[in-house]
Amino acid sequence: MKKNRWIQVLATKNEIGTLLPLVIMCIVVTLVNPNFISFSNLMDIFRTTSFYLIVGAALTFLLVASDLDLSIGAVTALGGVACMFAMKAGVPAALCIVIGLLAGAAVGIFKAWIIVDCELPALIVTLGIQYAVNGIVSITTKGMSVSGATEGFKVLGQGRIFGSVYITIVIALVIAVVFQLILSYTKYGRSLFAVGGNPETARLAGIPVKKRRREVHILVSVFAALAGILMASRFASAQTTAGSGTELTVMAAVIIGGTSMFGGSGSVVGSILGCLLLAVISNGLVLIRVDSFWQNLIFGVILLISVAIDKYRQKLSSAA
Amino acid sequence: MAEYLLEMKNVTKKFPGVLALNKVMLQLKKGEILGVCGENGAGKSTLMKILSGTYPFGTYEGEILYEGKTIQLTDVAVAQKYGIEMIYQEINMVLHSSIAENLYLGNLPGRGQRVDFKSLYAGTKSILERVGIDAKPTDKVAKLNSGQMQMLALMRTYIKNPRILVLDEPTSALTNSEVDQLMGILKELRDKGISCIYISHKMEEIYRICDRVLVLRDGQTIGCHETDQVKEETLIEEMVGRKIENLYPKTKVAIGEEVLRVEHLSVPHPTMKGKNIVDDVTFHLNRGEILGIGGLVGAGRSEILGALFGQLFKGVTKEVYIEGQRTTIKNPADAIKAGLGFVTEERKLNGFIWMLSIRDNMYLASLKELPVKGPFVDVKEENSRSQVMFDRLRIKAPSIHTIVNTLSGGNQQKVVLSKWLVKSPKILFVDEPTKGVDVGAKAEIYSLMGELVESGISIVMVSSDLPELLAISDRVLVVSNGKITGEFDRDEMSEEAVMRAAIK
Amino acid sequence: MKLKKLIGLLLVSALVLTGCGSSAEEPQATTEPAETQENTEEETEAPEPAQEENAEAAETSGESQDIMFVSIVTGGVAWGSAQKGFEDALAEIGWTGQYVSPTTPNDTAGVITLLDTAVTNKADGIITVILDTDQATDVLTKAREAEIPVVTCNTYTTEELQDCWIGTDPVNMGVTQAETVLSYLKEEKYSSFDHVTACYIQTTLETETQNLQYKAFCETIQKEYPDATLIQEECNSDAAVASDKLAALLKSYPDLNVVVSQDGYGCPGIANYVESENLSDKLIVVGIDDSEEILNYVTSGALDCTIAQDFYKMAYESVHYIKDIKEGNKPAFANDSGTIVIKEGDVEEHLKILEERGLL
Repeated sequence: MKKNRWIQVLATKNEIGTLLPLVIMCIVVTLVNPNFISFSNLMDIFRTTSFYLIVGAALTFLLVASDLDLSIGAVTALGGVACMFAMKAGVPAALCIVIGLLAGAAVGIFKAWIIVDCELPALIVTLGIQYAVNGIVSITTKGMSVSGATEGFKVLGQGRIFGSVYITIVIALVIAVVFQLILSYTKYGRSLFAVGGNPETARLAGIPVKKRRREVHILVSVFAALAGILMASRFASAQTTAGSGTELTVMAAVIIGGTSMFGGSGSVVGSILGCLLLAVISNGLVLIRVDSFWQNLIFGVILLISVAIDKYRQKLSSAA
Repeated sequence: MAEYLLEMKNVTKKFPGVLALNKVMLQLKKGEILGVCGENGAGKSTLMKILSGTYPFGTYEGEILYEGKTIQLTDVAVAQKYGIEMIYQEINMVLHSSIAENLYLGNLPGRGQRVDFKSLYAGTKSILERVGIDAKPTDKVAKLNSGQMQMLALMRTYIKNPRILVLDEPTSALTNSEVDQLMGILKELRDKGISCIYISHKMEEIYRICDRVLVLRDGQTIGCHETDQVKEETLIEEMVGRKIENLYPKTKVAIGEEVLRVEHLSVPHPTMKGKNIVDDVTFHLNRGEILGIGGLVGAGRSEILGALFGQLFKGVTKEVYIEGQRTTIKNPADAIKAGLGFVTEERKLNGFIWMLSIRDNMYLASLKELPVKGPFVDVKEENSRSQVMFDRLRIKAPSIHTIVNTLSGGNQQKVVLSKWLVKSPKILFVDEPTKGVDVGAKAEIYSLMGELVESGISIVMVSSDLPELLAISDRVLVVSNGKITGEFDRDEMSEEAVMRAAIK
Repeated sequence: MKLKKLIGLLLVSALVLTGCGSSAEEPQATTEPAETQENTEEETEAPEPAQEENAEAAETSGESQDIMFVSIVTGGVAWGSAQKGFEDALAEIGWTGQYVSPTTPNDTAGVITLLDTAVTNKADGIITVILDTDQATDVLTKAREAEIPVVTCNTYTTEELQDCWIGTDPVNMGVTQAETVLSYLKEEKYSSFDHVTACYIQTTLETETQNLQYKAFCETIQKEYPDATLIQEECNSDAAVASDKLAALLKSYPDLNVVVSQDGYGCPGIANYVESENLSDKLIVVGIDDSEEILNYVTSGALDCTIAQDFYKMAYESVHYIKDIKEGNKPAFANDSGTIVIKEGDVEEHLKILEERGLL
């Protein structure tokens, strides 16, 4: 009787849809290949997670406010490229980072105006922006990567704290923690839930709905650019294909982590778990020597199971 | 020949943690209209979902007998085969499809896959004439208003030749003449030998149309009476479980000077160009007063409130004076800053946020005033203040963290009210304060309003419920076609006077 | 409000339209062409770009021919060079042409659509890249009927459907990759290696030519190391993915000692990982393509060498092939543009060649 209740309580925890497959996956892989939990492998996994999470945290805010963005991959490439062009031209590294972020902000501002003020659907608009930004990146780079990273700059993406933990992991964690605190414990965070839950109700309650939506759109683009800048630091050059596909994978990670696509609910903690799950799956499948032809299929299946568990959890908690 | 056409015996339905129905008994005779009443949460909808096959056989205990024989309703299609048809409270129309297609939804005339458009449109035309709806069969349903759509839903089941028609709060969106039509159709069905189950809050309707009435409370059958033999107080007592001394508690409060003055308020009509839905309206509100606004649906009452609050803005002209000061209101944020609050008519649409908790909904309009500890919200303090409000309003829910979606209509309305009480406005606009709220909660809401005016808040209340309007208001304005056609003090008010002004 | 919406709508439509259209660039037919060069079918050295003043018009018609190059991507190390080769050849001969590609790289259907346009607009000659023969059968037949010469780069269909092709023969590429690895295994530096556990990281597992390469690679390796462990992986043209894959592979196969990169975008990711983890002594790493970045990695030692295809030559020669076809000299069907293995000592010289071609 007690055991049943225990399972019931656990099953209704919001993050169970991600936590369960994550834990199971880790156990299974470790049994087959203990190297999985070796320190260096865990560092690799966390590092991969960190790049997803930097965008994922901001994307969580956007989804809570009931919006979406398909242009984050393109903006990631743009941020890295803009930063490296400046660095190649001799601009000091700190300023280059700012330039990269500004490039992201510029796209974000434009995007916010079209979606929020001109009231056009985010799906099509961000798709168009994705094409356009990719085009800008292609034209300016002629398809070639942009190198010229200074030693100081490289430290961000390649360096480790105490010689062991990658700096990007720390950056991503700090970002995620701050975002989660804002979301659950500040008035700003509360207003986002209202905006996403029912914008008309929020408006009638005096919450500046349009302002909030603009802000989260710009936020996502800036952090996508940040991810691109850190990626450029990691490889000492800005790749034109950086971040491609992340608009879908990171969004999937955030949604699997429990944030609703329809707005009004979500958590950054869930997104951390979602991004971690993505990294664990791609790392784990290689570690247990799954034939690469099968990896995509299994990846998809695990994601579906995650969604199913989350649906089941929703059913349980609403019937209670 | 069985005595009853339909019998539901000892029906018990459990959800995790909740006993929704507990050995409920219902009997329905052939050719009778049985009323079913009870508060929200009494189990009426659950019982009907079992009858309609939405909750299939096997998910509940008890049996259902049809003409004396036990039947198993394994799904909705099976129930429909027995002639059991439902009409729900929410409009069930495919808005972008034509009237004809909606009327014959799932029931299109024609052989095989081919649709017989001729008979489709002919049949639709005659029905439209019958219920007096001025539209073509090919018009999109979205053109109609909610009352007409509800009539259409009724006719949709009518043409299916049902044997048992179940109606759940059918008149909430209907005008008086439409209600008359509905009653007429139901009587016609009854004379033909078709039985109806009529779920309603409205006592007048139960008494008007039902032969017998069944009372449910907390998932149990409390009593079943012949309508011509039972007193209204008895029914209410059975529904609520206690004696309600006063259905319309009215607090006596000293009324002060003018606190709001509105001059030359005009709001353009949303669809008809060149017309105003609110036309040069001028009125005032005194401190501590409850000003009722009556009139027919569509007269422009809600628009008056909406325009003043900044919800409607385009093309609106107005002069607003709050406590003597000229105030500009361009949007809801301005209105709130000026000390206004607005409980809207459709809370599901824009009154609360369904996926958030009671506590989160309470602070929606007061985010700036949330208690803080440094840069963060002081959640402990917020919780305790919300709890105070929760207790004061006597909200029936497990805790302040309950998601609002799961609450009954009355409790939801209390949550919406609390949103504005937390804000402590000077002036509160309320549009249909007890819409979709059951009897027990209604009285509580009236008391609450009384407490508010006692504390110095002034209220403007729009209401379509005449008894409510007359019992609670200190003064009544009547609006017709966008203009004020009548103003009555408490001693001048009467239902006839209001109605007369409303149809001017 | 309505005006805002309209402006926004127009802007977005413009964005989407440019996105949906193809990315095309019009090369200038400049005035420095020189004599055409004689082509041979076997591996030749890199051709020199033209220097002389006079335009030598085509012998056949005396009028300028308009050639359409329908590629799979614009820009990048590989196809950027191809475009340059194409434009240089056109300038040399005095012809005009257009280099186009679909917006989404490797979009085979997009290529077919552009080919349809080329045929309808009666291009004088078509150079293209066909990743899927079945998809292209229809349009190539139409080109045949319209008597438009068709030459493909780095891919091929059948002799009925096209005139000839030039590119890196996938089997040769795989064999070259394997032989390079085998030669390193014999070197002093790697004398301690007594086995072969190799991973081959390509673009996607669906790319047919890359799979052919891999097959040839495996067969060649297995001739000398029949017990070799050979792992095939994909990186989807993403440096980060390639880097992470390599990291995971090393945990999965602790005795991994050979890495072959078969994707120009993934290669820097692999090289970067080798460098940051100081693995150059523990791994034989063979790169691909010859961008400046990759060549730098060869110099620094992260890559033992890189194997470049000669995209410049492919495109350059294709134009000349079309000229030959129009003059009645039909070239051989299959032409190998060859591979260039660039080791540390070869980097400087190769950079000079790239500079001369104007690719740096």
